[in-house]
Amino acid sequence: MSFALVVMRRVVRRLLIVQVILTLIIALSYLVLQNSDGLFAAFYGGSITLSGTLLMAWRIGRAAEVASIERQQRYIEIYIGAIQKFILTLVLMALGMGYLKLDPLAILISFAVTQLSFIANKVDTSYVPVKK
Amino acid sequence: MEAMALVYGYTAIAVGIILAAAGLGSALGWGLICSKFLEGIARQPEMRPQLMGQMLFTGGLMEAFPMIVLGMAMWFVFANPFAAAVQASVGG
Repeated sequence: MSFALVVMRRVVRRLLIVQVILTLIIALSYLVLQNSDGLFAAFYGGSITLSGTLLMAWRIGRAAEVASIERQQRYIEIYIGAIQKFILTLVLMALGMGYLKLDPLAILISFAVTQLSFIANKVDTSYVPVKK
Repeated sequence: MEAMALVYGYTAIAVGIILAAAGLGSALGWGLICSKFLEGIARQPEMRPQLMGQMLFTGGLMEAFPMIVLGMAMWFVFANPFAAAVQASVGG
């Protein structure tokens, strides 16, 4: 496993934990301040961000795998991942607001706050692999 | 009825402008991030793995804002708050 992939996996794991914690905080706040409808909507908003992060993590892992075969392919994989994330967000938002009729503001607030978890995240590059 | 059609029409135009602005901002952001990434590699090629990680997560942070804007646009499309306000004022 390359050093870049080790760093990426570490950062993605931390990012996912922060996003789950933020989703729970917002969902519980909605439950306390409003009702269970707000709770579900907030959970849904947080899960949109979580699914986007999981998709990104999967794509980065795939990019690292194919990079050993062809270096240029890595960037194509990352680019495809960005497009997929955009479409996934679009579809899940439409599903939640249009079809499931969940509270749009709760979805949006939960989604926005969990997206901002990227600010709290730092890339730890302290580990240096030993060369054989 | 005509008022509702106006609200939906103007909302559609607003959503188009919002998404275009978000797309432009995202494209500019990615361009800047990738150019600095390439500059960094050109200066210090041994820093490539660290810079790659930093680039992707700075990109993730930058991408968060267009995604939030996308969410707002979806709100206007699928649960239009302006249409609800007009309906309430006409009905009430």
